[in-house]
Amino acid sequence: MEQIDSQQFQYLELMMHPKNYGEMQEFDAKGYGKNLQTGEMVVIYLKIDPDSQKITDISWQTNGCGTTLVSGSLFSEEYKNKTIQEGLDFTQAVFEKIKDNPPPDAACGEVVARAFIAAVLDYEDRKKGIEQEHIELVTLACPVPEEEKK
Amino acid sequence: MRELFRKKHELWLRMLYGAFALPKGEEFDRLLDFAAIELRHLKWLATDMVRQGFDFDWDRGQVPIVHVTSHGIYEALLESLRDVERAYGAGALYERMQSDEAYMQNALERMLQSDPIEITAFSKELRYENLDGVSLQALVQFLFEESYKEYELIVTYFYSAMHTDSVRLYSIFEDLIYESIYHLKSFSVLMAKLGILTLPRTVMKEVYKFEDLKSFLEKGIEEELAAKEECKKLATSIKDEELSRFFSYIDNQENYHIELMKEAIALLR
Repeated sequence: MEQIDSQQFQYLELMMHPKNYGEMQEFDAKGYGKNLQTGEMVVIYLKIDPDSQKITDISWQTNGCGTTLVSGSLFSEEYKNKTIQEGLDFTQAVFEKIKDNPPPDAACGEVVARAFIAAVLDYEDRKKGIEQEHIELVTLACPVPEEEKK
Repeated sequence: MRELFRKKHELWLRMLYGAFALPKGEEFDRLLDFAAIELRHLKWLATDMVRQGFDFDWDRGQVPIVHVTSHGIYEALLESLRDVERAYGAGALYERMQSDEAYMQNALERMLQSDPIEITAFSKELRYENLDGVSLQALVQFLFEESYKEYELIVTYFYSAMHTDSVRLYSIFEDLIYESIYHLKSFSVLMAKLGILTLPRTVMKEVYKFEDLKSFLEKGIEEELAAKEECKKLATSIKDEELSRFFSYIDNQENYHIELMKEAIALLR
């Protein structure tokens, strides 16, 4: 008897061997997505071709759960070889898609997408010579505590 | 020194996961003992580094752990030991470490004389007698998340222990490390039984090089409480008496982890 179906098996593979996972030493952009309720965090690193604005390489890390690992693997594959604008469009589509999901599942996808937005903001700042940490908080799935908004 | 620390970290993981991949027995125990020695080496090395004003990290390169026979595991360990040997400089601490590892190399060479054991820890068999699909899925999810979490806790408490001047805090971190090693071992042995033994992913620097120990511990208590709930759920939903008892036991163990963490928070006030 099959105890686990093929889709669950695919997710299992991604949890065992997450795609594009790891720290990038030399990057053009770095951004954090954070879920203040759970402490879950994702960092995304991007290598961007300055002429075409294409994402030539991506890597990411998380302290998050299995669902975040699966989301990070799938989304990072999507972001690769897209232009920054195409990446942002994809991110917007992700937000649309996950907003009706149960909060814990939605948060796991959102934290990855937020990290991408933070990395894009970091890229824009770096072009202006500004170096600062960019953190985007999970808001769709979990309300941001009042004290963090200030 | 930083490069040596990384190589020793990789060696420790190879030794640990080499043991987990084997069926329980003399060779499993031996590799587990060697892994414990390697963790102590890491502790002495880190102590030395911090004392000299260097920091260390838990970065690592590729650590392949998948093998089809026990001989593959031993040969990879010998190669890793030789690689570490080349990275030592001069000094009394290094000489002691090399002496331990010369013994390990000799033991592994002797283990290669015995008949190879077939390794099934990576077969992705995904079968567990008495478990239906839903229970199995819950178990797999739990093992993945918690085995990573235990590794994360080991490296984080280790890092914290190396950066505290408080004897009591150091002792609390050490207790928590040993607890997490036991949990990691228990979960990994179950993963090996299911054929899904996997090395936990690298821990982000942002996780263990935190700025606020108190809030890390407070968050840690919340995570322990959540893990307790998961254990309770598994203990009641899993239709396997031995596993059910095991998860009740882990659930109760979280209670004294929480007490240790509360004591650590009180010490920080």
